[in-house]
Amino acid sequence: MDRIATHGARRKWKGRRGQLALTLRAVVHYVARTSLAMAAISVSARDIEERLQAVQRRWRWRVRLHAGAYACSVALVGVAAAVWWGGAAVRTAPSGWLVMLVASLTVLGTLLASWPVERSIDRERTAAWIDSRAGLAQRFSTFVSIPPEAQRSRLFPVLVLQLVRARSQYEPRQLIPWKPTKPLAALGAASLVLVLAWRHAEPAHPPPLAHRKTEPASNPERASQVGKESGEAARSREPGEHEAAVEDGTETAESLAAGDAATARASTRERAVRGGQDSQGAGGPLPGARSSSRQGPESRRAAAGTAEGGGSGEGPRPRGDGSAPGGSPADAAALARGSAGGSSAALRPPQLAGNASELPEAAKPGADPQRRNAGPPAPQGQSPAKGQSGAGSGTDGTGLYGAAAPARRGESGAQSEPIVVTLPATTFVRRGVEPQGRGAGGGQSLDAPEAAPVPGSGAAAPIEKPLLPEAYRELAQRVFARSAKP
Amino acid sequence: MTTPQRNVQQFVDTFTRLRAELQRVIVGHDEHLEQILVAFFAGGHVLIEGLPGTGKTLIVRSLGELLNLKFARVQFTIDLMPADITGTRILVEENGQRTFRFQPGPLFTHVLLADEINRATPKTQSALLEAMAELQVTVAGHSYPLPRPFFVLATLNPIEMEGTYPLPEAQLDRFLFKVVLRYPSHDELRRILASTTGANVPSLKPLFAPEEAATEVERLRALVREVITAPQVEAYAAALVRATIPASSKFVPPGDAPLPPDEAINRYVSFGASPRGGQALLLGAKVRALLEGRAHVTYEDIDAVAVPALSHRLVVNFAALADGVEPRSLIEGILQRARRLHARGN
Repeated sequence: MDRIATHGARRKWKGRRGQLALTLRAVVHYVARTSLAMAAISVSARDIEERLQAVQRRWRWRVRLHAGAYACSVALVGVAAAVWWGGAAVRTAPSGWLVMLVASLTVLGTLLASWPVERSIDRERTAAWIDSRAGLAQRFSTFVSIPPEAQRSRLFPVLVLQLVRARSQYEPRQLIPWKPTKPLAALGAASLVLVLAWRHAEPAHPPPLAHRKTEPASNPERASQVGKESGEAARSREPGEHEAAVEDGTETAESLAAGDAATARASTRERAVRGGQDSQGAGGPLPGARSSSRQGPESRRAAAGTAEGGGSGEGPRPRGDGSAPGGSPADAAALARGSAGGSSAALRPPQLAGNASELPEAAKPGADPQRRNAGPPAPQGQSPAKGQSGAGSGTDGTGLYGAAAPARRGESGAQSEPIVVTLPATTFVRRGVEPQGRGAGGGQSLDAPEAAPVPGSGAAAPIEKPLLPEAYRELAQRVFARSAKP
Repeated sequence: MTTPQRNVQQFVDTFTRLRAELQRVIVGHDEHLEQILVAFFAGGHVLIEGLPGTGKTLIVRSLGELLNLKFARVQFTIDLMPADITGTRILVEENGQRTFRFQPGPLFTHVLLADEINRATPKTQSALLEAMAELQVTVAGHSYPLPRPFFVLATLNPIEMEGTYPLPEAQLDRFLFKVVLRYPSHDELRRILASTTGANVPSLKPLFAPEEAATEVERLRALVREVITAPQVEAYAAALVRATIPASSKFVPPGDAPLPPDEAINRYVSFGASPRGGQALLLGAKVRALLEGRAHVTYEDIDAVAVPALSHRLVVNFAALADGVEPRSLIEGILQRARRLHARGN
């Protein structure tokens, strides 16, 4: 009985076990199939979503790149134009900063303007763009825009599957290839234009002053004599050949560093004569200014810059500075007196030592003042152009730093030649000042015999105060006061 | 292949076979045949307008035979009463008691051919309203559901207008599509003559077994409604429907038109399409999407069904009749403007 009952229970259990196993298997099978299918759809949908975001990122980056490249190109071209027409002054003057500010604002403004474009690249727009580019028949935009409840549709897996099958058609790299050739070409062209403009406006830099060792002349008498001769020789130079004197001035400085200033001046004079530099410079202290009225703008600018700021006694004074010629007693004395003297020498007009009849047409009294004042002043701290050097050396053809360097460095000016500088009543070409004739002021011309050094002293005589005509006193005070300003 | 994909493929196969079989019997009218099939699977009814002898009745009868569904034909005449089509209660005697029993009319079928529907009185025509819209018939306060699927194909004869009653707008709105059959071309006419006058008349082979035909058709119809429609496509369909309404209509809220006003619509249209027009647009577009194996509706699907879905819903005024302007040309004008705007938006 028990056996039968047990057997019956066992049979019953077997049947239940079979049913249970069947049910479990079915459930597992169903769940696995369903969950796997749903998981596959979820993964695919996530993959499509990531692709969409990748395309968005790439598109935005492309917009940013194009905007930045084109903005930089425009800014570079603008800077190039400013440098081309504005010259070297744009690079240092406040106008240069203004140009850079405008260029920066251009780039910044373009990047800011591209911001709304980047913002407009939203999901819907990107999806529609992918559809049109990849030929997906609006599948992507439908996938992106349908609400969540529509994803419960029985056909939603079909949409996802079709998108997954066509995934090769909307690869981000394929849709937005890396070929920014046009913006990069524009950027390169703009850079080239800027380089060309920069080279066009670039002045020749003089050699660094640190390499020039200048010492006072050991033989002031001979140096004075040589300087006088050199001044005469310089008058016979041909215009436009002052560049040779620039090099000569360098060599002269080196020669002077060897201790024989006179020899060096002589050699310089010979080279200057050989080079035929600025024969119409009239041998004045600043014939470069005179030549500047005839020569190129750089030369004029350099000469004028010399006249304006050469005598400040501050900063490096380039060669060719109106106060520099060592052979010129007036300049040497002026420099030896420090800033005031230097200023007076530097501010002298080109006709300072010349005869009015020898002056060039532009510098003659009654000529156009603008023409005489041709050439803007060189910017502060700016190296003068080559023409400036030629002007200085054209004074006497000697080294540029023969006597001026000690004065500039604050060394003893006693070793320089005793010079009496008398500002002549010749033309003073300066804005707002009427030019006058040579004899108008009754002053002593630099063409007059120079003051002889004290013989046998071995050192230069004490510097005498220049005799300033009454008509120039007020002007000189104004100018000196202005030059003394830092 | 997953089940949804298999369903889509099955739909495409069924539709393709149906069309091919119909084209064996009906020469020409390929475009109209497709429109009729689209309306059938969309669950709507079709109004066929055509001259006598252009194959209207043949199309409907062939469709019923192919699907192996119950088919009924009602020739509408001026003396046809509503009870003649809906059915009526008759007095019967059962078990010694006399009771009223509902005798279903010809409406209780799957495919109904309402031939020359404009020859019946408006009262009889209106009897179809409830059946077509709600798929039920109410007789003596009792509603009787119609068998599913229920598909009405009505024909109109544009000539012999004497003694006819134009269909009321409310009834026209119940038809999903209106198909206008034209004369066959010379080549089509030659083929018609050859196929119908010979010894071998083409016979139709039903696609479904009789017991499963209704279920199969209903399953395919349900699949159509699963097609995904993006919100922007729905907005596009709504804009098209809204564009058919003249701006001067007092039933329209001001400043609500997504498309700029159309001068032709304002001039020639008295009443535009109703929301049923939008439903017809989307349902027809869904069928077309499935036909192409897609699970979503596109703008092109909407455009493809716009003319048959909207043209019969426009009530044109006397100016349109005087100028010979047809609703079809008005709908095409709206489509052109909408396409331009859509292209500009993209």
